[in-house]
Amino acid sequence: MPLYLCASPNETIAQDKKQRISQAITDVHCDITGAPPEFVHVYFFETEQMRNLEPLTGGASIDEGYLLFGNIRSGRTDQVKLALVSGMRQKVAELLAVGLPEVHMLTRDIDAKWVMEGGDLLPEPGEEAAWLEKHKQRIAAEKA
Amino acid sequence: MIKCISFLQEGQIPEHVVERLGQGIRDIVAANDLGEDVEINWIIVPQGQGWTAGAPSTSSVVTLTTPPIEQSRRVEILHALCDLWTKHTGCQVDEVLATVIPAA
Repeated sequence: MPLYLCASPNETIAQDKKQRISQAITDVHCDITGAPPEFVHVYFFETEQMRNLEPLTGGASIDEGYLLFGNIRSGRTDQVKLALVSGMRQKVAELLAVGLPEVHMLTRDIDAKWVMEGGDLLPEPGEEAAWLEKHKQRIAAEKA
Repeated sequence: MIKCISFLQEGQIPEHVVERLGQGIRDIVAANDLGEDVEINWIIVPQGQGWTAGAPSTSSVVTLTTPPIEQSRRVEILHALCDLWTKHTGCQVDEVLATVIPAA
């Protein structure tokens, strides 16, 4: 978490751009939220395939253009969410060399207590540093 | 019906292991008195399409949608899902993202 899904019309995102787009989305997320990058997941799908992902997207879909759908931890302020959306749309539009109106974005709040990553329940927004320290210590202890 | 959607990275988990994961998910649901009706949707993320921290992803994402349940039970289910993955796929615990969400 977060899990960002990028939907595009069939084969319209060149393979060499996907890493750059995923990095850009990761950077925007981490720069704005302070969250560590190791938990930022970005998956690419064709628009048609998004229909199979309804439990995650609530049925969000588009007829044209590109759709970014972000499952993010709840508790982020509206200001933070707006910054995430505008920042990611801008970066993705630049990388795809398309107009901003062609890049749509939605987010969905997921309670941290519903999610386990790395064997630990996710921290609430703002508590990442302490969580990460404790998490790394636990993993190191298990490996010792 | 309990719905499960799971992302697997292409080529990472053999088919026979996926079958074990599916049975394991059903066992977890049954053990938690959530019924026997489980619909599992496996989504294979093709190579080059899945990224974590800007690098090719080796993570699995499993999401279970259930009726409202107590947090203590949710935590047990989450641990069971993570253990299922690490036991049968050989992945590291950091490579599993598990979510149990209440149905809308």
